[in-house]
Amino acid sequence: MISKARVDARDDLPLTVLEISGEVTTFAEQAIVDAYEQATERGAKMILLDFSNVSYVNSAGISVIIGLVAQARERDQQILVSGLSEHYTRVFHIMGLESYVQLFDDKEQARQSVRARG
Amino acid sequence: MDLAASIAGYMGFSPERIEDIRTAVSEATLNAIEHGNRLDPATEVRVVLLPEPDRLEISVQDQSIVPLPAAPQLHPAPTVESKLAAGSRTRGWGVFLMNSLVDEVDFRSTGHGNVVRMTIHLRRQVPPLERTHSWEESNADTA
Repeated sequence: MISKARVDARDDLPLTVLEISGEVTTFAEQAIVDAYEQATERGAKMILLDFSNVSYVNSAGISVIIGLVAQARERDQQILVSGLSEHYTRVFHIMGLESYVQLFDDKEQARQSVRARG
Repeated sequence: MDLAASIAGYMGFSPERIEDIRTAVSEATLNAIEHGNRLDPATEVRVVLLPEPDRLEISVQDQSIVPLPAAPQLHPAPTVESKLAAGSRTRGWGVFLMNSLVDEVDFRSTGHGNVVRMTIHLRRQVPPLERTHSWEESNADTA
């Protein structure tokens, strides 16, 4: 099976937005981790993972996100998430992930929240 | 997954529960492929959907020759914190999600593989899990 995920990075300082498209499974790991590492090399401190164009997520894909959270913790970065469907928002709740990543309805809400912090 | 969702829709399950069923079937199938069949392309996963008047039963069977550990549904639930611990693998949420998303989960080993049977009642038997505390609550000092 091949990866059905694509990640487009966009610097929208102080946010770096990683727009994920397709399916977030174990096969998306390389694309997501590569985009995260490149953002880190550019000095990103607040990384927004946008799921607006994601059609499917499984636990293996969420584990990839947990791996990013672990990396971010060591690097003094913050991971934010936007655009999850109602169902996957609930899955994040059930797994307890909302304590570790801040969830937003969409990218604009995330931007406004970050700007409000100053 | 799509067939299970279609049947669940035909039976009258709500859209939210159909999504739960879709994810639970996906996780059971993923476990069967990865852990039961060990990614062997020569093996098969058999999914049986049994609609009853008051419930939907879904069985997912792999071709593993290794019996399941005792009562995997009773294993301690994973936590993000434990997964974040240094050196910990971040995978291992499948059984937890199945338990969280459907009413009953039963595992058994047969002579022809391991089977997970999930039962979803039209009238929910277990209330949906309450959400955990939010990021804002967890980071009240820093947010």
